[in-house]
Amino acid sequence: MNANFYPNRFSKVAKEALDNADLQNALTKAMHHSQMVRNQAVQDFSDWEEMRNAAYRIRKYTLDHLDELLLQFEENCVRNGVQVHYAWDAQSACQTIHLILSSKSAKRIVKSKSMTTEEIHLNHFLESNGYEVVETDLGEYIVQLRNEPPSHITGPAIHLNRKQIADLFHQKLQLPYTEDPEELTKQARTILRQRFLTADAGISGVNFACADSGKIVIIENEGNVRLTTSLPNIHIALCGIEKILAKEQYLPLFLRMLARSATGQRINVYTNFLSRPRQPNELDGPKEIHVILLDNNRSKMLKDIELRESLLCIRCGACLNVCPIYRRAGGHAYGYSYMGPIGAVITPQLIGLQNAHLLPYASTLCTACGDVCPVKVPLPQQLLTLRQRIAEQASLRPWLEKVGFKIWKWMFSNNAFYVLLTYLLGFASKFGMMKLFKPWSTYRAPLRRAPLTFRQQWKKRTYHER
Amino acid sequence: MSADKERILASIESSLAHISKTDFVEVFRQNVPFSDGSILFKMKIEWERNGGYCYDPLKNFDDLFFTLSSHFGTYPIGETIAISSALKPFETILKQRFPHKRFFIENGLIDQVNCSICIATAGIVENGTILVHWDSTQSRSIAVLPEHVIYLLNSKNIYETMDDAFNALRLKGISGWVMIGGPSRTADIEKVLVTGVHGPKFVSLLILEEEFYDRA
Repeated sequence: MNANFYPNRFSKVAKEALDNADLQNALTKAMHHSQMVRNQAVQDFSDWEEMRNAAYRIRKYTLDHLDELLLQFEENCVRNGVQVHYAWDAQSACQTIHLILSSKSAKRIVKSKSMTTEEIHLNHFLESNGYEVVETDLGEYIVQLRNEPPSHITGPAIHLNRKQIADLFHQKLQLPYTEDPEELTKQARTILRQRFLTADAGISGVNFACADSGKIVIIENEGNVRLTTSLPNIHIALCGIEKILAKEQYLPLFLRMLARSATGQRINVYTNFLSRPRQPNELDGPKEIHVILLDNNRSKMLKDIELRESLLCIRCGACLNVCPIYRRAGGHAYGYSYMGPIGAVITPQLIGLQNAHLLPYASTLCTACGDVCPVKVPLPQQLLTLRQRIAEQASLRPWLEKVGFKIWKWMFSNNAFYVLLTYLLGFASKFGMMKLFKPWSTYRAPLRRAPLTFRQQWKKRTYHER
Repeated sequence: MSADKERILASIESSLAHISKTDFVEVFRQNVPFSDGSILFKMKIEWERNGGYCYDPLKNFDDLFFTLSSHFGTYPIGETIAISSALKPFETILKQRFPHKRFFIENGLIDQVNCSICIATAGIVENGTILVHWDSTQSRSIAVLPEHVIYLLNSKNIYETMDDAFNALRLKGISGWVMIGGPSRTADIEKVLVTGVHGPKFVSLLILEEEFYDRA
């Protein structure tokens, strides 16, 4: 596993996040806003639940026929003049991109936001091979300057406030200090415009890939995808194999649901439908379009009956916005490119349960994530399944937990010892021994001793009360 | 990487071997919400809800030039204006009517231009968006690069829903397009909405009546 991923440090990083007042303020403000606008937007449709059911069935159809649909998509892309590559894993995908770029002597790369490129750690790979890579989504550009990963699927810089961004631009880019978001955006526009105009290649992700037409659909609000896929001579689109849609006719349903679930908009500002490279008589556009279909363990995830539906996800980020753990811990605590409930479910499947065994516990199981998911990924059930699997693998449980449960099992199966223990605990609590449980009550209501044990209460009851 | 292709397909096949496959899903028509009024009026309202500006539908040449004159006086669009080559029939007239402006037919490299006028292929009432496609007469970047973009939309190309508009484009043989819903925007800094990030800050829509467009 890549050293820059650290999902097994969740508890430590989450605790640091809880102690970070700036982060807590930023998250509270952003999450409240996101949840509110999403809830308002979905009310546009009286048949939202029917839409969710249809979206679920359509995405499930894709998973069940993925082999046929991938070949159909490839065939149509080739017919359109788009080159298709398959990548078994992250290394293969990075090497393929390197080969494409080096064959054209492309050095300056502009990139638009893509969680799949984060998953394969593409920027790090390209930079270590001498490429100049610039993220062009404003949020991504900010976190790139800070040398940080994004902290949210749709809002990469959601954990930062305007002062931190103003300091960053002033110190790293030597720009005049301003905390005005409009001015900061203008500064970024000026710098990034030059990057667009001089870029040799553009790299993007893909939201949907239509098997029946070979079209790829990329959604955005800023216009950076539009420029990334129009101005450079080469466009490379990295697409997870699960992003396929059987029919282009399904797109309106998904566009309606994705925009509302992600940002509370009726529709994103730019929805790019790309199908072929620049034709001889056209005025601009990439001379080559390459689509890289990335597996990276997805085909094996398909086999898992209990967890395969996590591949239905369309990366809207709605589950993050409602998750009480994400809303406090933030995205960096998850230590991987996917965060929140969906991250807690797919990360262990992508990189192995042993490398991310803390993430399924990053949930209160309140089921809000499952309720908002536009494609009905059964996230709460999947979190429980993963917890069950962790419990079944002795090597993944901490030794203290294993010993503790053995003692607990022995005590609770021994009646006399149980009575003695409850008596001793009651006695100890009278002398302020509950302070020993302070770590438990730091972020929870303090434990209070009941005046009588259950057995004592039971004894006191009359026959009828019982 | 054909080895990777074989490996992926074999892995999928093995994973799906014991799965009972679902049947094809029929396209489901959703209850799209609409405001009241004529289709042209609804298009104007919905486009403006997205943060753009839309004039009342224009019937003839005089209407267009009067509107453009008022528009040029209202917005800081600069002196140079790029126009799509699909608008070539208007170039001479535009130059005569607005002698203090410099109009030129775009060539795909318009990064120094502050304003452009281009053709919108279709409009969608459902979400107040327009579809812009590219070909030999119009570049991909004309609709996005300048800070100020004026889109001309023929009234007969306005559709109620995305489904109808996409079908219409496919029937015309158009394979690539961008759906635009207002000015370029971001809320990446403290969720404060800022327009004009990489694309235009001001987007204006002129809806043209059929006879007028045919004359062009």
